[in-house]
This record gives sequence, structure tokens and C-alpha cells, in this order.
Amino acid sequence: MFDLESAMAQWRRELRAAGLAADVLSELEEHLREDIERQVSAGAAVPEAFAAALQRIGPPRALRDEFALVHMPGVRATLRRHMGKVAICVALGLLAAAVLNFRRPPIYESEINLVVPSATAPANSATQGGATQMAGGAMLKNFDYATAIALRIGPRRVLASEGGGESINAAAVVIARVLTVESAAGDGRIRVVARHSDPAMPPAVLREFLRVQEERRRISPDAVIFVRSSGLSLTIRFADTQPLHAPSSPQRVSDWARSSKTLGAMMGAGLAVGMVWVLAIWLTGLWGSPPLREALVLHGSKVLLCAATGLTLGLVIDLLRPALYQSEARLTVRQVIASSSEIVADAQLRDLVMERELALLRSPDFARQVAERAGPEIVLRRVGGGKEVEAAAAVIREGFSARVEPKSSAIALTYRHSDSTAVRPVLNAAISLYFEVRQALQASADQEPAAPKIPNIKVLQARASLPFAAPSSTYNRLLAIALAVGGALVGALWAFARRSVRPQFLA
Amino acid sequence: MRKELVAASAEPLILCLLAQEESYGYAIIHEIKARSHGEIQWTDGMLYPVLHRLENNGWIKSCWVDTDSGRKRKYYAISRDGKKALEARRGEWMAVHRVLTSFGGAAHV
Repeated sequence: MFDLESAMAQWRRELRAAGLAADVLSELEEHLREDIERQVSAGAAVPEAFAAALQRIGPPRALRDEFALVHMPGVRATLRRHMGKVAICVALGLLAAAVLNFRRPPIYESEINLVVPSATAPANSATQGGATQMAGGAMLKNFDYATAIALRIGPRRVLASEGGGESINAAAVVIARVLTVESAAGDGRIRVVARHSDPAMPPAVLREFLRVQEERRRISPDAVIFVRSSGLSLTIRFADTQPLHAPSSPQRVSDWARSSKTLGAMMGAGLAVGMVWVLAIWLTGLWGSPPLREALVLHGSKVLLCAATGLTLGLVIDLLRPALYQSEARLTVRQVIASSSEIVADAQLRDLVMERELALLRSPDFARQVAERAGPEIVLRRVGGGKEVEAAAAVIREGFSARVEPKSSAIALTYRHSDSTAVRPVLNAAISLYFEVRQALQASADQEPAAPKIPNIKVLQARASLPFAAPSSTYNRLLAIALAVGGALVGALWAFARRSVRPQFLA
Repeated sequence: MRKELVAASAEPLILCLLAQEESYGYAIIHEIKARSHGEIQWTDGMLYPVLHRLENNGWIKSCWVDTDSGRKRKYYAISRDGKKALEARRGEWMAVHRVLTSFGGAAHV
């Protein structure tokens, strides 16, 4: 005996097992009942009417898949729904920033005031006085005191509180951050401030600053500065530069710049974490949708295979690449017009000059000459051996890099090589060669009185550091991970492309 | 009629119908069947996912209504966004229609 209610209950159970929501079930059941009612009132028997209605409404699996597609979450909708999570993450970032600022060691500050007189500018002219100050301040940066100070204090000591290391470039970056040159308007002074969490550092940095400045004064007692923006030509008497007082004793200061930076970074990180969280929620929702899940379950082996291939490739690259050693040096470039000690403090011209110097340092011919100077057999000793200059030049070009520190006239030279004993000789050869080439260029320019538009330059301060292990292994590991992830993605795409094409909206 | 065309036309047809009056699943299927003189045949169960998708998009609203027979029925009505979407869809279909008829005679379709 056919019982409609038990048949209906059985059908509901099937659909519920397929994962349909109760609300959807009620709606479909209502449809089924109305269909049956109409058939019965038209004269059909109940069991046949039920079978026909069931046929029309479609199989449970097809219904489930269609509904799963409907409820596939959109990124924006998910984001809107889970905005609270993002807000919580940002708030946590805020809290973290507050805690970090609270726990951060206090900053100590020490200062000196310099008076830089200008020979051409009358003392009472506030505009020219201001220009002198500004240009003088720029000069102090142009000379790249940071490198010289870092060398005098010693990279190891400078970097002790910054995670350690021996890199001159890294130490110079720290000093540049510690040291600020401010030209207070109108009073004819340049204020040099050093800030550091170690109370001993600011006075030490300023003392070295004064010594370096004294050295530089001997090299160039005065300098003519063209300030293109104001059309002024000023002579700065570095010889007469006097510190008004000894470095002040370190004072504890609040460091709003760093605090706000931490705040920004932490809130940004919170935002990023929140977004990743919501994205993960969205992806899990997507995972629930049949096309993707079916594709990944059926063709999961393809994803694994691709990921494993990528990982293996990355690891092999990591293993094949020998450990590298690095040596570095900084060239500080002074731009000199003709043979006098006139110095140009103009950003555009400076960049032009720096580009020319970089082109020189990066040229294949330069590498070949460095190879000749350092000795091809030394360069090639651990990389296959031999005495060929061209082969050695190729090796040098691969490991040699020259780049300009942003907004400065310092060139950071680094050389990386797998043979620790060859690193320093090659870099020293490059530096001495560069000096010679520069001198030759200078001499030929002096013989040609037709004034070149680009001023000649003099180079200060260059010494190759002791070799240290180059930080390249992290890069290799990241490469391996990136290859693995890339492989997994390719595999997922492959799997998705191979998924069984399911008819939609069956008619 | 081909499956692809049936699937593509389902949304605008439902929106058109609901723009005239509120309705529920079973009645919608029969109304479309009647208006197309039996040319458009939907698998009954497949209408509901489309209705839910339209509701997800915010183009239609739904509410449960008690009927005389004592059971509940889910009624759907078009929303303001739905009317805008309908106008856009109608424009697209009319554009296709115009191009087809511009070749003269529906027989060649």
C-alpha cells in the first residue's frame, strides 16, 4: 500500500543527506505536494502522480549541485559579512603598536650646532643665509659622512643593537638614520642631531662626525655651491665652520616619528591579517562548491605532483648553488668643476653624474680590466680554474654590483663570489682601477678647455670590507617555496581544467 | 529549445513575470510554460536554484505566506534593483532580437 507521507519523508531524508537546507526542502516539498494534488484532481493515482512529480523536480544530486553553485560566496559579500573580523585584527594591531611603543627602549638624543659662514652672502641677508644653510646641510649629506662615521666607529659596534653584522653599507644606513642634519631657519646655524637607544651612541656619533668634518675641511677648505632653484652661487667656507659647543649630553626624548611608523605598520599588518582571514573564509566556502571540490578530489594527484616537482626543483637549485661570500665598499663621489674645488649641489646634475659613473662601473670592458688586474687564475680558482680573461670577466660581471644610494652621491659596490679568498682582491682591484680610470678621464678633460657640461668628479673614501657570508640562502629557500606554491597552483589549474563538465540547468 | 538558451533566458523571464505580479515556484513554472505554448520546459527543481540566486543578488525578495489549504508557500516579488537588472537584460535581448529580425524573417533563425 503506497503511503504518500512516508514516501515524502523518505524523499526529504535523501535531500537532507545530499546537504540541502531545511528552508529549501520546505519550498521543494510544497512544490511537490501542489504538483501531486493537481495530478490527482485530474484523475491520476497517487503513486503515479508522486513518481511523475519526482521525475519533474529532478534527482537529489543535481539539485544539491545547483544549490551549491548558487550559494558559492562572492568575495565582496564575504568581506561585508566578516568586516568585524577585519576590524578586530586592526584593533589588535593598534594594541600591539601600543605595547611595542610602551616596551621600546627610550631614545636618547645629543646635538651640536655648527656655524657655516658664507663668504659671498652678506650676513644680514636672510634669504642668502638660509640658502647657505640649506646648501651646507645638503653638502654634509653629499659627503656621505655616514660611511666615514660608520667606518670610524666600526660596523660591528654600530650594528650590535641592530641584529649584528659586519656590512659597511648596513652600518652606514644605520648611521644615516641616527644622524639628522637640520638647518634651522634664519639663525645661520646647522643643527646636527644624533638619536639612539644606547645613550653612549649619540655623543660618539657626533664626536666622529666632528672629526670627519675636520678631515674634510683640510681636503676642501671652501666650496662654491650653485643652487639652481634660487639662481644663487654661494661660497661656503668650510674652513671657518665651527661647532658652537661640544656634543650635548644625551637627553631622553620621545620619538613620535618611530611611534607613528610602528602604529602604521602594525595597523597595516592587522588589516592584512584580517583580509587574509576573510579570504580564507571565502576560499573554504569555495571549497564547499562541487565543481572545485570534485576537481581537486578527483585530480588531487596532479596538484601534489606539480607541487612536489616545484619543491624538488627549488631544493636542487638551492643545493647546486654554492655558498656565496660578499665584500662591499662605498665610493663617495664629489663633483668638481674644472680643477678648482667648486662643488655642485644640484640634484639633477648629481643624478646625471652618478648615472655616468654607474655606466662606467658596469661596463663589460671594466669587468675585463678588473679580471686582468685581479688575475684570472685567482678569480677562476674555485669556479672551474683556467687563465682566460674573458671567462674571469664573465664571473666578475655576475657577482659585481654597483648602485647609487638613493638621493646621495655614494655608490655602494658589492662583490659576491663562492670563493671567500677571491672576494676582497677582486673588489679592491675594481676600486683601484676605478680610481685610475677616473684620473685618466680627469687628465684628458683638463687638456680640453672646451668646458664639458658634466663636471668632473673626485672620489673619496673607498675600502673593501672583509668578506662575509652573503645572505643568499634565504633567497634560495624562498625560491624553493615559491616554486612549490607555483607548482601547486599550476596543478590546481590543471585539475580544474580536467574536471568533468557537468551539465547546468538540466532541461 | 536548446539547454543553453533555456538556462540563459531563465533569469530575465522570471524577472519579467515577477515585475507583473508576485508569484511562487509552481505557478511561475506553469505561467512560463503557458506563455511559451510549451516551448520552454524547465526541470521543475531547477527553477529554485535560479530563484535563490536572484534573491542572493538582491533582485527579488521572498516571504512565506499561509494558504487556504493550511500549508505555507514561498512567494517572490521583484525589488528595485531587480527592476534595473530587468531593464538591462531586456535591452540586451531586444538588441539580439533586432539584429536577428533585421535579416528579414524569423524563419532563418
